[in-house]
Amino acid sequence: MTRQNWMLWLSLGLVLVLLALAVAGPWITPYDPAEADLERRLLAPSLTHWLGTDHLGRDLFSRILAGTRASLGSVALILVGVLTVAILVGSVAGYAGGTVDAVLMRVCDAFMTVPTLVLALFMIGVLGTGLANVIIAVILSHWAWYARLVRGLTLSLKNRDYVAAAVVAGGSRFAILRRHILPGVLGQLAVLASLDLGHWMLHVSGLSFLGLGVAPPTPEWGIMINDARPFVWTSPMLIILPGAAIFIAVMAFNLLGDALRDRLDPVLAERVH
Amino acid sequence: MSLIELRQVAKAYRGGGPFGRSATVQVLEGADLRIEPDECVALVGASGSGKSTLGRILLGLERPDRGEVRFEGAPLHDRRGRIRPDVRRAVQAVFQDPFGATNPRFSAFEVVAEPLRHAGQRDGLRERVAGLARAVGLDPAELDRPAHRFSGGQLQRLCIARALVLSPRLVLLDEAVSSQDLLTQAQILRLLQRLRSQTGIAYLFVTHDLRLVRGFADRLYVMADRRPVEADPQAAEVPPALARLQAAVLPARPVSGLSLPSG
Amino acid sequence: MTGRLDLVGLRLEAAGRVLVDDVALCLQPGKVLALVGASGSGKSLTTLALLGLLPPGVQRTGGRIILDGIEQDTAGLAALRGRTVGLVQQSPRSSFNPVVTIERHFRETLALAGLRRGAARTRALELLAEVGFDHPAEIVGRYPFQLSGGMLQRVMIALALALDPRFLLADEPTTDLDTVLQAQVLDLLGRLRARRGLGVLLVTHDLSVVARLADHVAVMADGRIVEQAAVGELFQRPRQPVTRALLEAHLALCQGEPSELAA
Repeated sequence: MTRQNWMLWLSLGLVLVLLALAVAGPWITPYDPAEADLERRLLAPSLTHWLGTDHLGRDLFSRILAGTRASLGSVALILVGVLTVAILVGSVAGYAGGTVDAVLMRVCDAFMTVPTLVLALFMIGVLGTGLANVIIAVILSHWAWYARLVRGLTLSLKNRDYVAAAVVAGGSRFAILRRHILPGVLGQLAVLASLDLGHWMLHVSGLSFLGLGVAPPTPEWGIMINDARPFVWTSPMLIILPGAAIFIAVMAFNLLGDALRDRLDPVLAERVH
Repeated sequence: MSLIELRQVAKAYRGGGPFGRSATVQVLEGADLRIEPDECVALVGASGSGKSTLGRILLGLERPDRGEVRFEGAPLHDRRGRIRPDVRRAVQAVFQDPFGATNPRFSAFEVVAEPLRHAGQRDGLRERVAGLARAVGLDPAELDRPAHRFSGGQLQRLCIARALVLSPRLVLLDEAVSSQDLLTQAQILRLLQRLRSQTGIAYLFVTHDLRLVRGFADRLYVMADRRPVEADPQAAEVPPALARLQAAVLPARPVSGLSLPSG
Repeated sequence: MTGRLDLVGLRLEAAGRVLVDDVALCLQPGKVLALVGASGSGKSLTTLALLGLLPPGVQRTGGRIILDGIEQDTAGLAALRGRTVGLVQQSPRSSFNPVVTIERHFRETLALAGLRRGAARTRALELLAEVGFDHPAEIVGRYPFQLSGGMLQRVMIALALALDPRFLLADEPTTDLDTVLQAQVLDLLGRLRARRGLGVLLVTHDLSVVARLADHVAVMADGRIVEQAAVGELFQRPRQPVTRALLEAHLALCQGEPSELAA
């Protein structure tokens, strides 16, 4: 297999496994991830507890498996949120042009000037803590960049002859956006978004680490790292294992993004013209 | 009553590069043009003479700054700037570059069927498209291939089929054969003539190549001073713009005896 | 010193398929050799092969390039580029760097001849005057996007001549230009042939261009040369079916009735 194909299948496989775990997580864990048993704290890996237990006696393996749902689930929701808002705003701005475009782009500029962390803290200050609010905060801090990208792509595609031909053929603006502009846009978006997925996951984990995200005892990799801080010297596995999980997931997304970009390159290259 | 008529159309663009020159370029001024039903009219001119802009205004893709466009006596655009669906269907176009004029993601079938979909038709698409494919000399069995896998000449035939699928009354041929090689040009012109005799469609043939006009068009306009001027290429006296074009036409055969000093 | 550039037995392959086979051409000083054929016949690839500029994936599996009786190897070919053989291509806009002025384009090329700054600018102005610009000083300071297609084509010819090559390869130099500009560029090529004794390879699909400018003609089809003759001979006594077909379509076009052949 060529290098491209190999990377594409490997990362796709990894991502699918992670997705499956996210969906099935709580059902396939050997133990209840929230079940604490102080008699069995900080146990080393054994046959009963494959990765050992944490400081509250909860099975680490189960917690990491279950944590997939929170971490990946949030990333999936962020992806949907960012792309939806970006496509709506960007394609309308690009296709309509004029005042509509100008106004929407100023709104984008406003959102883009605020750093992610500041915006997230502000949103959480307003809305309160919790995973949902963390997700909203990350969506709000990232949609504008994608909206600009969508707008740029829309502008370049709008002037193609086949769009003129579609107008002459009687297409409504909505139909043209849907059939000619969006498919061209989605391809590039998919590639760029997949490169960002790992980044978003780190945001979610980071904010959870700061105590702003999930509430205990919900397992989430970032918060697991935070909880394990007092034990960094005595039981480093409590930090290393969730950290490794984050690392694997982010790597998988990055590899997928790279592979998608390489794979779709000829089509992207054609569109650059 | 003419099929389509332009009256005193004027159009300007703000030109200049990004270095601040914002001089307005007047592309069309006082332009009059009319096309009767079932007529083939040619519009010739050098590049930059405004003929493409005129074509776009005729198609309703752009609005003139002044003047009006009338289709069968009624204004092309209504007061809200929209074109009535039946009028929209009646005026279609074939563009210069078939690869640019078709979505690279579409199959040949989808390219030709698109106008039908926009018109809200769902049934019998396959038969209609297959029929048109045959009419333009293509094999209906090939229709599911991606459009861009076809050759330039074949793809241009598909574009012609697309222009005809809604049974229009007028088709704008905007340099429709200029990108093709000689043999293909001749074939496509022949095809267009045959289709016109079968369906009674009117054409506006926009081109810079005078050779293509003879034998194809009934009447000729030449772009002169930002407006189309009707002219007869056979007449003794022709407008200077046309004379310039005629002088630039290359010979059909090598001119022997008239030699430039060559080594 | 024969003064000739010969191509013998050229064979080009890509992915196992033979694209061009057994092509032989001869460029003589002060003579124009036209290379004609339908799209896809291999004309452009042959031109690129002469300069060693084949696209990725295409390999030269046979053939020799002989200058003045001396066979050229890869290093020799690289030295030919620009210095002995200039190249003018179909689409001028994509050959220019959009963020660099015309003067910079000249400077880069003239630096190879050891000309710098002042001397380079003077030479650039001379070249631009030679290709017909009345105010070359206005042109050198401009960026490519500020010049029209026709002007860019003339600048490209000037650049191709910068190092005083003995031969010029022109690949469809007028195909994207309108009739008037086409005539101007062909007149220019004719003057250059006379004044500089340039040997020109003119690739085209338009037999009018051949009639206007060529001394000899080679007809290509499916990667092979099927006929070669002096231009008068070819037009009066075409031998091969391919040639006859091209000629018929061309004459029909010039005389105004799309031929029976093209259906």
